[in-house]
Amino acid sequence: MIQISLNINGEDFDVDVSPDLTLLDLLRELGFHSVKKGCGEGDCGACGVIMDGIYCKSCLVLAMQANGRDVFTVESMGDVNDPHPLQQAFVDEGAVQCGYCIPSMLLAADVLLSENEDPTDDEIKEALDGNLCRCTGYVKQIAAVKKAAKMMREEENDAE
Amino acid sequence: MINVEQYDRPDTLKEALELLAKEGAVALAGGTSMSLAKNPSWNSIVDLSDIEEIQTIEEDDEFITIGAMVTMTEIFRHPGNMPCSISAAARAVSSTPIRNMTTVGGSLARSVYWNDLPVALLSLGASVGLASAHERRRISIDELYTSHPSKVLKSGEIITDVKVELGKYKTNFIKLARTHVDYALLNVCASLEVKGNVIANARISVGGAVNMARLVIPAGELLSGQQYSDDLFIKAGETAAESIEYRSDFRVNREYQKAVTAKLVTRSLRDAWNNCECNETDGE
Repeated sequence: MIQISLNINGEDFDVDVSPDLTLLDLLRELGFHSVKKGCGEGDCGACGVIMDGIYCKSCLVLAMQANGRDVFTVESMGDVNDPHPLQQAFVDEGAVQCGYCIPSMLLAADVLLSENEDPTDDEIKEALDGNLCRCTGYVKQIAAVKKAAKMMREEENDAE
Repeated sequence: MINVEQYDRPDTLKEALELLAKEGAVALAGGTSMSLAKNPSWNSIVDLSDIEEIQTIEEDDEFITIGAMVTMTEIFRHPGNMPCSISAAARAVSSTPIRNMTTVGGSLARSVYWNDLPVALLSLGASVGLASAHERRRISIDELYTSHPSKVLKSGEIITDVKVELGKYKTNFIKLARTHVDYALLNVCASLEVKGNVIANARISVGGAVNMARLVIPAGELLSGQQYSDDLFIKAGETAAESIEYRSDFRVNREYQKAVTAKLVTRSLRDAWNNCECNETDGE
């Protein structure tokens, strides 16, 4: 076993991990069940997380690689009482059906909007690329990200 | 993997190379193939992701040097003079989260048939910086690909960077795949050193349809020293299609591989000659 320390959604964790444990399995063991295990080999994207600002697939990251890193899952974004604009926009636009791929889509979109406050359709498609959705056909997620971007720009203008 | 007892993430290359000199130590770059690997001979992992000196892209008047830990995303977002076929190959890699993780060094050292980036680097005649605890050396990418790169690297040796001459070639990269994120059915890169109306030197490389990225030397030789003509580009495509050994691929048959190689090598040569943008194709 290898001892690691990492920060998940702002909280510090010290854990012993087996060398072949993936970050995906560690997160699920620690109760972050929004991180989904679909294919487990880097195809489906349902395990997407943000690690040190980079959106990545946690099934391809060994748990020990997360030592000293900051990891964010969708639990960090908001909840039903206080949703993040992206979460609200996904609801408003009907972008969620079964919901399995949505946590990672939200995180991918969050990274995009942190770098680009008014993305084009192509930029949204590229940011969400690698997150397979078998329900919706992707159109509504693109509309939702655009709507969230607008909501966030307006919020910022109101704050100024 | 299960026998790994130590994990280190050193800050300096020197420290990493000392750790890698030990028996059973393995370098971890982007990690996209590592978590799926089950190699019982590894007992320690040396994660290279905190070593700043191999994470930079540097340019001078003549060369661009790309550190081994630079990711595909960083390559195509680079604001400077990245050769377009390198940018296109980096962008052709899988999906955004994979491009955020995949590194230059990992793509070369762990070469698999579908790798996009090595095809562009071969065509552009890159040189590759290597380092171990005992030695620093620089070899041509042709030498790295005389066998599988992992066999050309000595024990404890890692790739530190790739270096490409700027402005030497007109170049074009094409990926053929069923969808953007699918493994390449065929990758082609054509690079032409042009003097007036004469092709002084041509380097054509392929991947995807072969076991490992490789130069197609007979097709390049056919063009080198010749005056430009479109017929010559068609002939070079046909020569390339005849001269490579195809891997068997359940997605397509041999006739298709051959036909599409001829067409796309010709297209890549035309687009390189005309300075057209690099692109992807679904075979239409």
